[in-house]
Amino acid sequence: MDDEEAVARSLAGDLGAYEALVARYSALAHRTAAMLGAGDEAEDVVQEAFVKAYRHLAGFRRDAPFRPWLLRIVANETHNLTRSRGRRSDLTVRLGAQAPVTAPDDPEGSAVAADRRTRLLEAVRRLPEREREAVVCRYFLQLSEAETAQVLDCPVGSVKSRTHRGLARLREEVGHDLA
Amino acid sequence: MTSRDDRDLEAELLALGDLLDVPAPPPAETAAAVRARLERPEPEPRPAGRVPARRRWGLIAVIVAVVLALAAAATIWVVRSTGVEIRVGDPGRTPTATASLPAEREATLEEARRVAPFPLRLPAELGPPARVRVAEWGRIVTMTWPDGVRLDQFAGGISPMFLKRMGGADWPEELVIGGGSGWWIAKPHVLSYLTRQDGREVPLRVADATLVWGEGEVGHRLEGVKDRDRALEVARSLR
Repeated sequence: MDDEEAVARSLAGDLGAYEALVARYSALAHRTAAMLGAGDEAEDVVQEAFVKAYRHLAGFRRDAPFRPWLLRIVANETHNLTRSRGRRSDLTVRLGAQAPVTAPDDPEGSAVAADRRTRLLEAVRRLPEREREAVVCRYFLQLSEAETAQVLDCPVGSVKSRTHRGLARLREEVGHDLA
Repeated sequence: MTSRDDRDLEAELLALGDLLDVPAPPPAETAAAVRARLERPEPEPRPAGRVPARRRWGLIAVIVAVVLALAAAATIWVVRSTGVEIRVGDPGRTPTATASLPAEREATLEEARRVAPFPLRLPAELGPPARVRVAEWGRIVTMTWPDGVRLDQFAGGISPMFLKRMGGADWPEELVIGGGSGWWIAKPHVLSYLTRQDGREVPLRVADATLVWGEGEVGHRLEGVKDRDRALEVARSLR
């Protein structure tokens, strides 16, 4: 069952079809919410977003891709949450260190790589909100420019310029000693 | 600025993105929860203050993760090793008394071997332990030597069993032990036990310099060896 069929069946009241759609996009939705600032409330944000998406399914253009449409709702829910909490939308993620261990007995080398990653992540976290969101969508969520534009509700040109400015700032901060 | 620099940085960001670990419940669980909400009669009255659908994330057991958690302006870093969570920038209150672990008792080495759900090992560098204790019905085995040296071996699971709190000025140092990652904490710090039932924090005591690491499903804490390189030697001598 592809997205289009799942959406059609959901619209016809088939909750099982919608459940399949939720399961399909659950991980990505959690990732999006957490990275756009939902922090440890990502689970609540995601559930809320899926419930809302279902209720607004009738307004979804059937020939459009479901994924960015859904992520836009997740992003909106996340914004509502951070605004209601009166806090900045921080990038709340964990840096898993299943990181490739270059040489098992080279603690220093691995510590240097870990340090570089940590600093890059820190620098992303410090970017101005709009640039950070663009960078997060493009690279951490690996969305296309068009998808990013839809998720962040801005023109593609803005995605390009925000990403560009963000990259320039990152390079200033950590760029020179990046591989 | 050259486009080559841009491409390098983009590649670095993509690779970093792949390492970022976002905890999420199993998709089927989210799907079922959403369905349950949709099946309820609507509109749902949802007063302010939603009940957080707490964790229970199907987490990878043997990861070392760094969480950037931001509370207001203060940054709290969370580092995880098998069965251990280290929180930096959140020193906590110093426990006034020393607490013990659940079902903690003296045991012989043979007995500990029998009850532990993992193969118990001995650090060749330290020789036979002076005392052996088991807690949590064998899931935690503690060996001690003179001069405050102790080694805990524990069945690490999805959720941490020990919590270490450090001030913001200190920082654990990442090391590689036995092919996995470990952390060296040079200074005394508050050590707590997290209950298995609900993750409640039970402060145990102030722990001395400690090396923590995981190998497979087994977590290790070596405490009281004050020199980092010596601690690594001891850790690598486990047989």
